[in-house]
Formats: sequence, C-alpha cells, structure tokens
Amino acid sequence: MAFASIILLLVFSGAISLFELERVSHDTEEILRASKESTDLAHEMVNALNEQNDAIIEMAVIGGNLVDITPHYNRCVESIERLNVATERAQQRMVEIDSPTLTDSLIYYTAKINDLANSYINGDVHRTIAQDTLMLSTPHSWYVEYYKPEYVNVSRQITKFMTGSESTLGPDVNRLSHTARRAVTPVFISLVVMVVVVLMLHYFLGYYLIKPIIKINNSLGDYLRYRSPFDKEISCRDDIKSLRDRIALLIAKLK
Amino acid sequence: MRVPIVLRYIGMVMQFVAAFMLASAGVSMLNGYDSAYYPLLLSSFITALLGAFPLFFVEKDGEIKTKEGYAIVVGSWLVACIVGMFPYLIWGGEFTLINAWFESVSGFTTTGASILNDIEFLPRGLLFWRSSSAWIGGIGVVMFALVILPSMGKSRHMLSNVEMSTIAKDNFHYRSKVIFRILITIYLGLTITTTLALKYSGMTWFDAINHAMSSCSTCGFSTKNSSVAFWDSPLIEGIIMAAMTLSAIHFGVLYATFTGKHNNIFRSEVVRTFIIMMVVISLVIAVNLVTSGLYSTFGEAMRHASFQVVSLSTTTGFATADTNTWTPLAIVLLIFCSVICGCAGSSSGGMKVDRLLIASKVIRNRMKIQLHPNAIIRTKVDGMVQEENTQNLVMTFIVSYIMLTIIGTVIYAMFGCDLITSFTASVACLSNVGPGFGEIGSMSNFADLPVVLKLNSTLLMLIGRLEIFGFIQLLFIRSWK
Repeated sequence: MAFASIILLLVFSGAISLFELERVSHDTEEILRASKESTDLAHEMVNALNEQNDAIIEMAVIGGNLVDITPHYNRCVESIERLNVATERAQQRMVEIDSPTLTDSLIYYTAKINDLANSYINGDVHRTIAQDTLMLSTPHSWYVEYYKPEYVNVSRQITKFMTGSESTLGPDVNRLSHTARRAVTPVFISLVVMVVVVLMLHYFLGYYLIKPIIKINNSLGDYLRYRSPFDKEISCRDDIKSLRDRIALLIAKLK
Repeated sequence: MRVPIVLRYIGMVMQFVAAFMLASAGVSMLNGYDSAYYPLLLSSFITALLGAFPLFFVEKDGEIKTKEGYAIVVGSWLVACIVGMFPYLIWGGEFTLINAWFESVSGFTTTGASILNDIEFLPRGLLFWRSSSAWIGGIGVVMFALVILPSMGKSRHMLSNVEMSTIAKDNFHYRSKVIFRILITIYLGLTITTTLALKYSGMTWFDAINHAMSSCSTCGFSTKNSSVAFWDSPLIEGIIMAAMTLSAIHFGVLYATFTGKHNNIFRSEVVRTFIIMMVVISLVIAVNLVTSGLYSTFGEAMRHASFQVVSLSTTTGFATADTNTWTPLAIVLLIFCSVICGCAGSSSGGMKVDRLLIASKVIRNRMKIQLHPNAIIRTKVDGMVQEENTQNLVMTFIVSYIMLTIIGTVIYAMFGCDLITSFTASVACLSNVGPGFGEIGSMSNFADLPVVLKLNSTLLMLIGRLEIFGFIQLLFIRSWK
C-alpha cells in the first residue's frame, strides 16, 4: 500500500507539474506573441510616419528644386493610409486587452498629422500661402510651424503606446511566475511527503513487526538460558501474535 | 502514552481536512477549473494519504488517556495547520512558505489575520478552502472528527475536556455524546441560516457561504479586500452581527434556548454580561465618534461602532470602517473588547466573559472577606457555585494571558514595531481576533511584518486557540511517557 501510494503520488504530482509546465509554455508563447505584435505595430507606425515625414520634407522643404514630385506625393498618400491602418490595428488590440483608452491620444494626434499631410497634398496649404499678401508664409515655414510639432507628438505617442502595451503584459508575466512555481512545488512537496511516508512506514513496521519479534526472541533466549518464564503478554498482532502463542504452547508442551 | 493511538486519531482528522480540500477543488471545478483546482486536488490526495497510514496500521482502541487526549488535540491542530498550507504553497502567488503557514494557522485557529494584499486576486477554490479551514477550526478539528466518526465510545469525553475550556466543560450537563450532537447541530444550523439570510440580502451564493462560514467560526476571512465594507449594506451588517454574536455564546446555552430549556440565553448571567458589555461600549464609542466629528449623525456612528465592537468582541475581525482613524477612547475600548472576547463553549477565543465575571466576583468577595474575616462567601455564576479550584484556574489563566501578551509585545517591539502595533498584534493573535491597530489595522494586514514576527504571530494564535494550558502541556512532553 505504501509503495503503491508513493508511486501514485509521484505520478500525480508529476502529471500536475507537466500540466503546469504546459501552461508555462503556453503563457510564455502568449506573452511573446503579444509583445511581438505590439512591437510590430509600433514599428509599422514609426515607418509610416517617417515615410510621410520624408515625403513632406521632400515636397515642402526642398520641393522647389524637384523636377517631379509625383513619387513623393504617392509616398505621402501611401504612408497616410499605412499610418491609419496601423493605428486602427493598435486600437483594436488595446480593446482586446481591455485597455482601450491607451490609444486615445495616439488616434487623436495621428488624425491631426494625417489631416495636415492631406491638406498639403490637396493643395490647401498652397492656397493659404498664396492668400498671404505679406508673403510671410512658405511651405518650409508651414513644415516647421505646423507639421514638425505634430510629427514629434505622434512619435511620442507611438513610444507611449509601445511602453503602455508592454506594461499591460504585467499581469500575464505575474501569472507566468505563479504558474512556473506551481510546476515545481508539487514535486518538491511530494518528495517531502515521500520522506514522511517512509518514516511512518519505518515507525509502524518497527512498532508492530520488528520490536515484537525482538521481544519474543529475547524472551525465548531467556527461557532457554535461565529457564525464566516466556512472556506471553508481548504486545503483537496477526502472524507474530500467532508465533508468540505457538512458542508459548510449545514451551508448555515441553514442560 | 501510546503514540500509534494518537496518530490514529490525527489520521482521522486528516481525512476530514482532505474531504474539505476535495470540496474546495469541487468549487474550483464549478468555476471553470480555476488555477486552484490542481493544487487543491493534489493537497487533498497528499493529506488523505498521510492520514490513511495510521488508520491502516493502528487498530481501534476504546479508551484514551488524558495525556493522549492532549496529544491528539494539539497534534491534530498542528498537523491540520501543516497540511492546510499545502494548497496555498502549491498555488503560489503571495504564498511563500511562511505566508502559507501564517494563512493556514490563521484559518484553523479562526484568527482571521491575513498576509494577502489582494484577496480578490485569489481563485474561488482557494477562497473557499480559506473559509473552510476557518470553519473546521471553529468547531475544533478534533471535535469535528469525533462527532462524525462513530467508533470512539468512551474516548469522546476525554477529548472534550481538552478541547473545550474548563469552564465550558463545567457548564455542560449533558453526556458527551449529546454534547457533540448539540455542537454540530448549532454550528450547522447557524451556518445554513446565515448563508440563506446573506444570500437573500444581496450577496452571491459564493460570498454568502464564505461569509457565513467565516462569521460562524468567528474567523473573519472575507472574499473582498475591503471586507464587509464592500457591500455597504446595513442589512448585511446586521445579519453578520447576529451570526457573530450567536457564535460567541456558549453553544449549550444556545441549544437550551432553541429547545425551550430553563438555562437559556435570557437567564444566563454570562450572556447578559456579554450583551450588556457590547451595547454599553458601542454607545460610548458612538457618542465619542459623533462628538469628535468623525461621523455626522449618531445613527451612522452607532452602525459602525456596534459592528466593530461586535466583530472584535466575538474575535471575528470583520471590518466596515478603518478604526485606525478613530479616537483614542474608541481604540482603547476596542482593545478591551479584543482582550475579553466572547463566552466559553463557543467558537470565539480570548480571555472570555466567563473568566472576567468570575475574576471580578473573586475580587469583590476578597474585599468582603477583608471586612468580615469570618464570613463564608461563595462565588456563584449562573447560580452555580464556583469551586476554589475553578477560581484558581481562572486567575492563573488571566495571569498567563497577561504574561503572554507582554512577552508577545516585547518580541514585536524588538523587531521594530511601534508600541500600538506591538501590543495590539499580540492581543489580536493571542485572542484569535485578527486585526489590531497601527500597522495591522482593520484595513491592512500582516504582509509587511518580518518572518520572525509572522512566526511569533502564529505561535500566539496556536497558544490562544488551545486555551493556553492545552499548548503549555507540550512543554512538559518528557513527562508524558
């Protein structure tokens, strides 16, 4: 019974450890996947933003020297679209992990910079500049005064999104550490319990088997050497009790 | 002393503990196999396995001796606390080895002190186990096992002598078998009634069961971080107050009341003193809180004052307000409640009203004898003459309680706690109340205490739960053979 229970205990605790390890593996994968997703999104947003910024710089700052601005125009349109898509995906992801407010500022500033970029490629900026009779405004000054501050704001928001989304993984990481402990503790406790079981077994075997046999042996030895009476009251049970009684009977018959 | 016999009874207790762990695993299963399912299942298996060995090897024995009775009670409590920490330890989280031990001892001794910063983070299975340990502790692990296990014959009474305080034993006129039936009937009845009442006053089934178990065992474990204050409901507070008060009254007296017998709660001097004490202290605190401007209306002050007074007097430890912010007079009176606590023969801990009553009468009689040296004055409680031996025991208990409180306070202070935290932690643990004041106030916990102090707290809890003398017997273990 003792050995069967020890084996059962080991199998049980081993199975739990394996199950928890499976969970650790699953949780780690989840965390890594979530982290990669956030990093990819931030990477995509940064790329799109830089692409848009480059195109705007080419058109607004050094645009006068360009022969053909069409490629930059196309790049700008494409980057606006990419930034919109990436921001929407970021918002969707934050909704999925119950932190929808984390992307509020990002969406606001992205919409603002995209509006600015759109107003440039639509020609609204040029029309405004043309209406300026004092000729104080230029595309370059528009870039410095309006576009660049928004570019900085969006960059900041992307960084914020990056750190924010990583911090939302905190509880998952915490859970992972718990699961990892749950994978180890059962085996450790089972080992301690096994030691206790073995000690109990040792105690009970000693108390009910070994001690009575030693007492019977000593009492029989005393009888054989000194003819002192055999102790019929030795506390024992089952087969050992039967042995004691038979020895007592044998001694009685020999008399 | 026959060690195998002691081990056999401890083994029985372990089977019961294992059954409750299995029930908690069932709760986990019902909650979509939450993260406590496997820890509870494995703990249940380990506990049942360890308890099965003595049952397998040792045969039944009709009679047990006094020393064996002591060993069974103390051993069962210690073993229950050890196996009770397995679910916490395996589950992990905030439960390090010492924290798991603390939470387990706190549950089984019905103290209700916690090391958890975020209770609501715990899975439901583990929360249920936490309340279960308190519930088992409330009735007494050993007594609980004895009621259900039918094969113990004469040995029942021997254990009841140890389990219940001497006074509780004196108050019982029923045969031991009847005593156990009474206890389990009252305890189960109270728990079921409280569960239903809490459910129909707005709690979920889960919260209602947990709070009923916690109230009836006078433990004070809650499923919410803000304890009973979470519901902010006078009705729920009223129900819990009633459950706590009834659980702190001698179960024999409660049984007599429900069965229409003569010696009921309306005639009991001890119960009368207990109720009057709580009412007067609540009124004084309420007036004090209103005059000091902490509460705008008397009704609101009385609501919070009475809940806190009942909670501490019954050694439960639930909270609806942060008592750390209350006035010095209110704090002193609440500490007094934590020292005196409920009646003997109940699930509450502490010094007990019975002892306070006997001690005050002994002092009064001593003064009378000073005036009339030849007078023969008897000390009576509830119409019964208290023998000199009982009086001596009461006085010895009170002195031992004070000495242990002082020693406990010194140990807390040695490790950097302030005076109010040290003293109230010592009282709260020794009386099995749970919350104290200062760093361990009603809205905080024992999490930040150093390991040594957590161990000191658990030792005080065990000493208090075993009515001091039950534990002190362990010191004379050499004379047991």
